[in-house]
Amino acid sequence: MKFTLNNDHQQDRLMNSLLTGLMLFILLFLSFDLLFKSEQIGLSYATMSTTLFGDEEAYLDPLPFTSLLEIIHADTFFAMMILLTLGAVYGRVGHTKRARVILINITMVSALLSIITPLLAYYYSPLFIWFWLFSLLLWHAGAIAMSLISLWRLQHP
Amino acid sequence: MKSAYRFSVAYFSLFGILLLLSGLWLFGLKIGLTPDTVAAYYLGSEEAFTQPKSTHGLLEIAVPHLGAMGLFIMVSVHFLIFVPKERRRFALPLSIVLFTAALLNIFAPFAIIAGFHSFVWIKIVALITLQLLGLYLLRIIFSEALRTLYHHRDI
Repeated sequence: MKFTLNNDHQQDRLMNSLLTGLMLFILLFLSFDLLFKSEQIGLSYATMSTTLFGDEEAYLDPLPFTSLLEIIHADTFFAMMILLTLGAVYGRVGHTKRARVILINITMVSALLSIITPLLAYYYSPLFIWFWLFSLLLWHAGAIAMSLISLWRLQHP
Repeated sequence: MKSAYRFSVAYFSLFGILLLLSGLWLFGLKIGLTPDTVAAYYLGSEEAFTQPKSTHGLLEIAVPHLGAMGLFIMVSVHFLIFVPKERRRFALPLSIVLFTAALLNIFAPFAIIAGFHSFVWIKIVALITLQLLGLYLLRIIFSEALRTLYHHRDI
């Protein structure tokens, strides 16, 4: 990953356009991932709870634990790759050093929580669904902010 | 390496650990970790009323894992360039073993359904090798990222 090692992408037009394209793709990924999640598990306490535990009145079965684990397994891979790449670009072109570190840490920690909290909700308490929902939305918001700031800084060095 | 990137690398290794553990957990739940359960999962079992796995079904698992595992191993091992030279002499053999274990892990089920029963053992050994070496590698990357963060507190 050349852009992680050199600093001259502001002068390098090819690297600049490559990173711009990458940021656009990551923005699209994050937006459509939220859309997909709203269909797959829901994006409210009620829909996420129904997905996990089912609903007897509506004759909806609970999600099998292996299916939940498959979702978590795939989400972990995508989150780690997207956030590593995004962190590498944003870490180079973002605002002040402190702002970069804070935004990266908030986004990464919330992404980690969004992986762990569904398991806690499944095994310990449905209350963890609130943490799941909040962390899922927060890491997507943080990542979208990182990619928008990176896009802006790439276009206005 | 900038401090923001060091953080990203440290988190990457934590995600990697979760990825490996969730994969192992999934394998244990769906298939089981003994030769009998692995054989029964792929070849079907009269007792459990399960059908043998089809080539199509195995491909559905193999194709995404070929891309994901190749990328995961390459990215993880390449972070060893940030580890001091004397502590990364094992990087080349480690990457070869990891890629080989990943390939065997992905393709062993095809050999099992083709009748090569000994590949049940190869599948289990490849999985355990991948898990142990992957966790070992990620631990090195994580501790190195933390060490450099501590020594370059330039936030």
